[in-house]
Amino acid sequence: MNCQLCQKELDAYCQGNLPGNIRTQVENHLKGCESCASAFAQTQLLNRVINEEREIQSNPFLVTRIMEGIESSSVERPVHQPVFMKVLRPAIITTSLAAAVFAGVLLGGFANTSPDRMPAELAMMDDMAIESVSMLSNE
Amino acid sequence: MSDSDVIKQVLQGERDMFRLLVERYQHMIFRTCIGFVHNKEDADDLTQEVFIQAFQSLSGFKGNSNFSTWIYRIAVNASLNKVRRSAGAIILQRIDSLLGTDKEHRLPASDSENPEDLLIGEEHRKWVRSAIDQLPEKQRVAIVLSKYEDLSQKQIAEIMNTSEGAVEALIQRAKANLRKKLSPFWKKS
Repeated sequence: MNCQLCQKELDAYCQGNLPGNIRTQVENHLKGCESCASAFAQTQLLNRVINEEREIQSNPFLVTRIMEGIESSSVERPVHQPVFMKVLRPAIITTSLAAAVFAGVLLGGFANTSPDRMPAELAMMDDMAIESVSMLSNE
Repeated sequence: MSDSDVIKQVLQGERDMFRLLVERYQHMIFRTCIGFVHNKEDADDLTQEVFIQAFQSLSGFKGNSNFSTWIYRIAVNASLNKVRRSAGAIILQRIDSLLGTDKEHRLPASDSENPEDLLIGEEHRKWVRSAIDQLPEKQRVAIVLSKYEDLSQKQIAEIMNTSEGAVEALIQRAKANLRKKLSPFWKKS
């Protein structure tokens, strides 16, 4: 067995997955090859560290945490929505806003009628127009 | 109840049914994440992020692949994004290595002829993790899915959207790279 073949089989050898004859060949090669023996030691170390990490358990409340995260995230439900609803919804909101602004401007226009435009009989009743506050305070 | 049945119900508005998928796949997603971040707290956070992302994108899951393949892809992408964000630390580590100041971190030489007898020290763990972290991304993904999840080359190929031959080559190159990276710290006295 050469070094390339031996190193290719090292993982399976470490896990005890090699058939008897190949296993013996790997063992014999490792006894006489310092480079492959070093590679074997590194493979073992790598497997041990990885196995240690694989044993680590997640937070026991992880499922609850995930479901809470889903609830609290301000996402829309992943329910299928018809395409026209996706377009219609923002259109309705925009139109409503525009209508509200227009109504506001219209009402503001009515309220903002100056005294000049008042009918004469109403203007007579408007004390403030006849005599201003500043004139009264000067007396 | 199959994954596709659960997904249908979730998409019809039964949001709580998603819990079944979380319970079914949380361990494998956590193990995958820990293969990238090597840290329980970060792996917990990443697992949560993966499932929230999966929930948000569930309507985009067409069922062309298994749900497990799909969520593995999300986990791999989220993990890679996470490690990219912390790439600055790795760059500093490499500068440290180039300057030769890493000599003080050499692994203790083996006193025993039998590596089975070696105890894993914190330094050993640190250098193995560092060696995995320094692998090119594709090799890293292939080795994590292979060693942490025991997935077959076919499954890894589906997740990585590549051929089985390419996965085999990636795994072999990853193993060779890992040995190369670990060998300077494994000199016998």
